[in-house]
Amino acid sequence: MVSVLIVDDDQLIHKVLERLLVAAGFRISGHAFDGAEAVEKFVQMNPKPDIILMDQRMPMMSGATATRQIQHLDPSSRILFLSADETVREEAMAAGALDFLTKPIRSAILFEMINKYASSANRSDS
Amino acid sequence: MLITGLGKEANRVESAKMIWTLIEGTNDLVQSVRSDGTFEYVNKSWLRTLGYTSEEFPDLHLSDVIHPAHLKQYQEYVARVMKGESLDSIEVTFVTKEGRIVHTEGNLYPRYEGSRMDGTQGFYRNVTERKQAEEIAREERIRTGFFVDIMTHDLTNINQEVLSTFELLLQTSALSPEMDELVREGLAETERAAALIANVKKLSQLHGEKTEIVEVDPADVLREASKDVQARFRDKRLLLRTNLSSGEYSVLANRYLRDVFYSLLDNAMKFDERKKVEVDVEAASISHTPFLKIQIKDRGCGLTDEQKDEIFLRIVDRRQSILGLGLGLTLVKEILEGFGGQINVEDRVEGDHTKGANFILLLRSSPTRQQKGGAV
Repeated sequence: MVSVLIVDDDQLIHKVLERLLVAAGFRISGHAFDGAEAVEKFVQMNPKPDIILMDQRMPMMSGATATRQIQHLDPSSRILFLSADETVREEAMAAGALDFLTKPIRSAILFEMINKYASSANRSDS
Repeated sequence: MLITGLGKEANRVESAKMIWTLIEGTNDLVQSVRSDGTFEYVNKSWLRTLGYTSEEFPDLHLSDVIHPAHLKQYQEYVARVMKGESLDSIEVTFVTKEGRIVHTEGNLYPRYEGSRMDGTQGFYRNVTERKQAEEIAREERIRTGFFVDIMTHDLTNINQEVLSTFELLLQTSALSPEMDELVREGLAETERAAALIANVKKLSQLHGEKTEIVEVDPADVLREASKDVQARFRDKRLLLRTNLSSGEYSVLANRYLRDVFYSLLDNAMKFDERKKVEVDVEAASISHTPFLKIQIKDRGCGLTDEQKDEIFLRIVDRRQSILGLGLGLTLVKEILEGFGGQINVEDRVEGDHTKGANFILLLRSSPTRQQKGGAV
C-alpha cells in the first residue's frame, strides 16, 4: 500500500485529501502543517513515506525549502508539489520535487501521479 | 541667436533681451551657481517654486536648496561639469524653504566668467507631480498584486476542498440520479471558478512583471499544452492534427505562450460536445514579414459576429454582457501582445459560425534562425 505524508497549512485540505486517498486505497503515514514540521516528521518517520505531497506557501518554512532539506537528508525521498501558485514551479523542481501539480486537482490525476512516482521508486529500489 | 533685419550690435542686444524673456518666462527652474556654491542668478520660476524672494537668494548656498539626501550626488555632477562635461537628463531633488521636496530633471553646463570656467548653470523641469503619480501607481500595483495573490491562493485552496468534497460524494454515496447530476454540475462549476481565478492571477502577473522573451519552438509548446488539456478532460479525446513539428520553426515568446495554446485547446474541448474533439493546427511563415501564422481550427459552437468583435477587448472596454464569456481570450490577447504577437478570429467555415472558430495567431519569427517551414 502506497504511503503518503501530507504537508499543507490548510486543515480542511488535509481532511479531504486524506478521505480521498484512503478511499482510493492509499495509506496516510502522517500530516505536517508547515515546512519545518514536515522536515521534523520526515526525520522521525520509520519507515519513510513513499510519497510526500508538499504545498508551497506555509508559515515557518516554505515547501521549496522543506523539499531542499528533505532531499539533502534523503536524496531518495519522493516529493510531489501540490500548490495553487504556478509561479513556484521552477523553484520547486530545482529544490528536488519530482513533479508539480496545480491546485485544484481532480482526484484521478492525483492518484495517477502518486502511483506513477511510487511505482517508479519501487522499480528503482528493487 | 540671430535676429534677421538688425545690425550686429542691435542684434546682440535684442538676442540678449529675447533670451532673458525666455528664461524669466519659463516654468523651468534656471540657476547660475558660482564655484563656491553661492548663486549668481536664479529665474522667477526658481524663486516661486522654492519659496524664496529675490532678496533672499543671494545669501543662499547650494546646500540650502538641494535635498540633503541628494547633495553628494549633486556635488559629483558639479565635479564632472567643472572638468568640462555637460550633463543632460540628470535628476536633481530640491527642497523648498518650507521643506517640501521638488523633483526635477534637467541639464547642467559649465558657467564661464570671461574665458574662465567658474561654476555651473542648470536648467531643471519640475517633475514632482509626475513622480508622485508614478509612486502612487506603483504602490497601487503592489497593493493590488498583494490582494490578488492572497485572494487567489485562498480561493484556490477553498476550490480544492469543494472539488474534493464533491468527488468524495460521488465516490462514496449512493446518490439519486438527480442529486448525482447536481453534484457533477457543482464539480464542473468549481472547475470553472478555478479557471477564472487562475486567469485573474495570470492577468495580474502580466501587468506586474516583465517576462523574458526568448526563442521558443511552437511545436514543443503546443505538444506540452495539448498534453495538459488532454489530462484535464479524461472523458474526452483530443484529436490534434498539425503540420507543426519540432525544430521546424522558432518564435520569440515568453513562458506564457503555453497558456495561449492551452486556453484555445481548452475552449475547443469545452465547447465541443463530442467525445472525440478534432482540432486542426496549421502553421506557415508569412512571406516577406517576420511573422509565423498559426491557425487553430476547432469544431465547437463558434462565435457570433458580435462576440468576435468583443471577445478580445481589454477588460475596461468590455460590456457587462460579454463578461460571462470569461477571461480566457482576454488573457490570450494580452499574453500575445507582451511579445509582439497578435490574434484574430474567423469562422472555420466562412459565413457559418456554428461550424466552429478559426483562431489566427501571428507570432514573431526568431531572426537568428532560418525557418524551414513553408510560406504563405
